[in-house]
Amino acid sequence: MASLTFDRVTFSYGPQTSPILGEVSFCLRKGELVGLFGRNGSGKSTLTHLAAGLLLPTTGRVEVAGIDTTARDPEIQRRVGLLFQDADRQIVGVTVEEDLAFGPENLGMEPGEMRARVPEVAGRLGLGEYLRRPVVELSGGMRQKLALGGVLIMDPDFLILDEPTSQLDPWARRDFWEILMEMRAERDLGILVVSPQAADAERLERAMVLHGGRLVYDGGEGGLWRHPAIGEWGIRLPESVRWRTGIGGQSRADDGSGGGRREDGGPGTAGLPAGWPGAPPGAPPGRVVG
Amino acid sequence: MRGLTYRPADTFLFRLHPVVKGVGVFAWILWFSLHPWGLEASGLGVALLLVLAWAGGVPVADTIRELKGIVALLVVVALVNLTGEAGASWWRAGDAVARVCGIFLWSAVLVTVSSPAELTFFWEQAFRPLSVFGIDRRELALVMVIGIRFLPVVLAEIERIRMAQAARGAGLGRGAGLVARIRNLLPLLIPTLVLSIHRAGDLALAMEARGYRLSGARTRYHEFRLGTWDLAAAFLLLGVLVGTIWQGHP
Repeated sequence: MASLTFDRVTFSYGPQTSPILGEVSFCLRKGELVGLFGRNGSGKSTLTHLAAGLLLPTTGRVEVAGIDTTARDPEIQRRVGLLFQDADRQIVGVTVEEDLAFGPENLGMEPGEMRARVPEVAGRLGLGEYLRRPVVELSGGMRQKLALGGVLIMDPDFLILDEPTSQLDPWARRDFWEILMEMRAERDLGILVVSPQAADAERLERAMVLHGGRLVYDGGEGGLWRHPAIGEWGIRLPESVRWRTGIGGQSRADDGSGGGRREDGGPGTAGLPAGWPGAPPGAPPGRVVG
Repeated sequence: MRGLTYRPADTFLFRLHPVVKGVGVFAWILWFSLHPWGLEASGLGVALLLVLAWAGGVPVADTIRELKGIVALLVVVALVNLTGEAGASWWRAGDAVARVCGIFLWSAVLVTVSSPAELTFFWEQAFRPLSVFGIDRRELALVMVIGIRFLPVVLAEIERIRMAQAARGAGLGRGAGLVARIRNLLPLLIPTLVLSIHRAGDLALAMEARGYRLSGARTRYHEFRLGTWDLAAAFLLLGVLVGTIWQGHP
């Protein structure tokens, strides 16, 4: 089965600089959904750029479906789709269809095949009506879908999503994940989510933690929340996990108020009424005010 | 100039080959610049333009409204022709203003009837001679497309920075005179430049992640083929242009 493999990868920007990543090894298989956690500056972005072949390792090997990224094979960009945090920074086309076609044009796809795939992918993402619409007229959620479409149209084996939903409202975030899960089931996509939002954490099957450029945790998502060092790694326990598991001393059983707060002082999701995206299971139904 | 955008329709003007549209507009611009027949011909040229545009499904009223963006230029052109050397007259000023209007309106029609992909294709063909100097015309055209794509984003960022600085007491846009106003706008330039450089770096990474390679063999999503109508329109325009030059400079 195709996999994305890091084998004792170190990376530094120059011989005189300290390494950003040190001896990182892991394997992302097709069909897996993995979260990558870590503080700012821990090397997450560097890791994603190495995985997509945009940077080459200083030592060690990065392989995508058996192809070493040092080969500079365009097949690597086809097989690994990279979605940036800010969709606006990766949309190249002026209109929706032009942007969707940008990747296939680069890969030399036949025009006939492109003209079949662009409307198909746009339709799947709910952008079918907007093919000729200028990108600047799209909402933030639609632009994020378009950025996702620009990656999915290349039929990748692996998706690397850098905080994909951090700029979306709860509804757009729910739509985004629904599409992603559908595509994943269809195409057996391996997905690496960098710094997943708290509300998305429970979707993960596996978690990895980078700390000081080293991979300090690679295991089940449930085990991560119980790990004694998560505070030191800068990882906050998501409210939904607190509710689901009772870790952190605030479960539904011991606090039924539904009024929990995030550790960073934010409003959290526990106060959301049932039916709202991200609301914890068993939350009281909402009511219309005013 | 917010109204000057592509507005898709299915008429003969919109269906023309992008190169015929582009060359046609440049031919008309040359005609307005070179013809020797004065105000009557310029006025007739503008009227013909408006009839063609109307018949071709272009929202003519909206296009004319865009002229307000160049009112200052028209006033200057008129004043120069009124106060110039011997022969300056209202007639000549009117002719000059009509010529500028004609050039502007044809350019506006080109933008209205051409999709970004068509404009890109046209520029690619226009840059073809540069390949003699080893310059890749598709790269140049892509630079123009990215410029078009990111212009609204950069403008929005400038506005955001302006508001952020104004919220902290920076008196942007206020001042005694023009020089003071320009000096007050300088604080916008550095952050905008820095943001633009960051954005360019991110975009280069994103393009590479989507398989873009300098001088890589790329295919084309949009294909354009010359039809009978395109050839007929091209010959008609060529005839008008050659006739004008012949008459003006026998």
